[in-house]
Amino acid sequence: MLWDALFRKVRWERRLDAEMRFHLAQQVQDYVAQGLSREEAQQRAYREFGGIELSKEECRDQTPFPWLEHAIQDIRYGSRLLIRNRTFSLLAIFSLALGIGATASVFSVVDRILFRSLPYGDADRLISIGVGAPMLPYDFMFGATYLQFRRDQTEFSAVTSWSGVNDCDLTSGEPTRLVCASAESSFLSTLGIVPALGRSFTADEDGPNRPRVVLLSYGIWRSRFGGHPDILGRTILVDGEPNRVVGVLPPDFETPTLAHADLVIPQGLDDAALRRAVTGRPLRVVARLRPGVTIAAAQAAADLMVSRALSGMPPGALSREIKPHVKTLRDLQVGDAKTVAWVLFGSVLAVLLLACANVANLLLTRTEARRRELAARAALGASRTRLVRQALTESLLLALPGGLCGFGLAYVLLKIAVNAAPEGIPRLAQATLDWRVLAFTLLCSLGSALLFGTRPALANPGATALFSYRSAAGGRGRFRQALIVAQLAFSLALLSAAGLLSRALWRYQQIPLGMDTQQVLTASLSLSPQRYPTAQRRLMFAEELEERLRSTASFAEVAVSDSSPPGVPLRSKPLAVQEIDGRPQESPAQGTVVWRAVSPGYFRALAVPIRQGRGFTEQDRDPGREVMIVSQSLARRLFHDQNPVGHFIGAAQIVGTVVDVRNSGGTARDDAEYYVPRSHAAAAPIYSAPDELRRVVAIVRTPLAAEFAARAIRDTVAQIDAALPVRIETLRDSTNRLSVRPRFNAMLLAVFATLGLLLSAFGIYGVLGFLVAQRTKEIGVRIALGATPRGVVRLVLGNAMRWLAAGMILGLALSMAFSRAMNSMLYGMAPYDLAAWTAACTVLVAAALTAAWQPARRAARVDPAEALRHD
Amino acid sequence: MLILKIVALGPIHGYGIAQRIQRISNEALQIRQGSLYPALYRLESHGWLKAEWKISEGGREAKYYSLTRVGQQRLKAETQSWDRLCSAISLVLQAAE
Repeated sequence: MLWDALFRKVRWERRLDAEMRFHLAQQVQDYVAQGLSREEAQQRAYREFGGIELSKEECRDQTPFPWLEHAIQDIRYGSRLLIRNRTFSLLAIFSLALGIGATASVFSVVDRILFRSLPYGDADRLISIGVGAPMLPYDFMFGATYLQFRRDQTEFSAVTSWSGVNDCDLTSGEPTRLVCASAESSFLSTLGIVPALGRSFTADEDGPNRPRVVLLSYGIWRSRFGGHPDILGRTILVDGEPNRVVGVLPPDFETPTLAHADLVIPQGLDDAALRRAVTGRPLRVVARLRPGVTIAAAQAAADLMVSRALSGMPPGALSREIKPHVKTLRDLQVGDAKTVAWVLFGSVLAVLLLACANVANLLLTRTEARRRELAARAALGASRTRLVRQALTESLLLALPGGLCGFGLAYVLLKIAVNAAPEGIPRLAQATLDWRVLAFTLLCSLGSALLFGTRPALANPGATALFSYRSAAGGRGRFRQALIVAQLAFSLALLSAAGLLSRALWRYQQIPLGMDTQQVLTASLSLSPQRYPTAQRRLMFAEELEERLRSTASFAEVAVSDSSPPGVPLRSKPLAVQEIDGRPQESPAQGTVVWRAVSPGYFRALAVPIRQGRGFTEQDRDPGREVMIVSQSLARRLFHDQNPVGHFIGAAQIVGTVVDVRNSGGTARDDAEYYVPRSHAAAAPIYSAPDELRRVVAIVRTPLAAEFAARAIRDTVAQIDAALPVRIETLRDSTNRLSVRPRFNAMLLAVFATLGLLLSAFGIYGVLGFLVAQRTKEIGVRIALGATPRGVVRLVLGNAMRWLAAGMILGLALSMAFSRAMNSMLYGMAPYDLAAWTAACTVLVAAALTAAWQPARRAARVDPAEALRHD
Repeated sequence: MLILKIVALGPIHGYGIAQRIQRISNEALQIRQGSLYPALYRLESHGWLKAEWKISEGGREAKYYSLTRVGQQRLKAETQSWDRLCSAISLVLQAAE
């Protein structure tokens, strides 16, 4: 293609040349025939023809693509210039590559979160609908409400439900712990998912006591079953029961909450079962909006549904806390990651802008230096458009390599980020550099070329500049200073955002955990229903495990619980329904209370200090004993300043209070908490909920090194049940994991802020240096007239100070807007944090002064004699 | 239009066109030879002229231009409008006398 074009071009040129030579030869021949001497004839012919090259040039302009011709010229000329000014070009390309690279890598991550469509058919019309209530951490509907909603609603073309994910064991072959999602039969069709193989289950197969069927995830099908299509119709054992495989999910399948699922099974509820369970099983509901129906209409439908569902309940604190929630699936999936994504994207865009401003400044500076050259070209007949085009070509020549390097950098950065990033950032693992990112990078490069190229291009001088020895007209100087001010403002915004995040993180880590995490291990188990069908069997297992662990000499303290901090307890209820001393609360407290059933060793094993009263004793586990221990925050909320010991909550008497222990499972606010003793009676009311007692967590405090202790625990479990999978973790690891994500965010922002600071310091340095060079003569005169070096330094620094002041005022306004957007990332810290802002301003001032110092010194050292001889 | 008219007489090379314009107009019209070629290239890129390389009388290779069909139509249109212009101008001149 290219060669062809080049070849054609060369031939075209040769022909043009031949044609003109032919013309001249003929003319000369004719003149010779008329009797002139050969030389005279030649001279006359050439004179009459005029400029041959000019004529050729004009001929070239007549070809169908004169702009191509010009572009090639511009590129050739531009690249020669750029290669000559190697330092300048490298600096410009480097800043651009940094800006574009950082932007592209962040884009590749946030693209998944914010922009790319979900792997469902027509995903924009999918809505999660339900109520948010203090008892459950997700939006849900109860069965009867769901049936009524499904029957009465008119806003949705399809409504489906699922019950979330649960552990399940694949017991054919080597037993494997998997995750099963249970869903209604209309689940896949509502989401618009077509199985890769086979079919979804039918409404007939989704009900109690039907032959069980299962859908495999693509990954499990490939890894466990070799990807053979004959898997359809085969029977596999899930939790020991035969399940017929009816289909395989597509490779990009994901559940609406992004919870991982290996298998999808029917949730086994028919309408009758749903109706019976008035407050039974909470269902998560996904619905597809009819065309033309807005999300506001869906919200109205949800409001109606909730008011209907609550109509039977007495108005009170609880019903105030139940709120209808309608979210798009994207919001449901990414949740607060959306804020993080926008904040990161915004800050990286700021870095890109900073880089562009820098390059624009560099280019402007160079345009100043080239005024005479440009003026000469204009005088020789280059039109204004031609010069502008030339300038834009040059900026493109910087932007495209910058973009290319940026793309490479983004690749590296993304690799690093994916490896360094904590788990739980939605979709990070899937972030790749694909054509979308490539297109985005290209757009960035082109956009930035336009952004930083237009202004210098328009700055092309008229012919007067050819004769003027003074350059840098005031207007252009002001534009450059505005760029600097904008840079400083953005830097300050970035710095203060990073400062805020680090402050919030630091404060968060200062909050006491409420326990001692050293030398503590937790072992989590989940008892499968077919091996442990009754509560009795499960309780027996737990008590035997506790007994065996306690008899191990090297374990100082042993406790058994159903969950362990900093994880969220399994059970929660609205605080408002708790009766105190047999009476309803006078002014019902808002919020949720969570609770765990623990063995007496719990507080000793975790070293949770007991504040009032006592801990649990073995006698508290006897059947019929109803006691509890409350956390200090619960005590404060229900009893204010009174001593709660001896009072009753519900039927249980409070025997003690303990300090608050981190129990949010993440960085959310901690809930109030109480503890009840693990009763020896399997029929005790605390074990009454279905699937209760399935989860067992053993907590062990031991002087042993973690790996030895872990092996000892594993051995002990294996003595009771060799086939039981167990997950062992040090408490230190699980608490450290809490702050990994905020730390990662803070670190990223800090990196961006540093980049931004470097870029703007570099900008100040460049522009001040240029100004000083330009005013050498003036400074020389000043010094000759008696200005002290100190005065000159003050003059130059004064410039920088003015920019800094303007930049800081703008920057503060910017960062106010920015930190408001970050509010949800600050763990309850007020977004206007004086300390963070002071720190940011200090860093900025220090950086600006450092950058300005060198040019100021140079100005002070100007030798007047030298300067006046200059030019 | 002049060029088109001359080319209409038959295939001719650039030098010939310049000579002929000079001769026909009795040396009154002196086209600057340098601007002849850009004009030719422009006409060619408009598709009014086509060109081919042939051996000239002198035995050298030369580029011969000839009129395309579009060029012929163009020539006709241009001639007509020129005629109209001329008659309009002469009308004005006569009326002014």
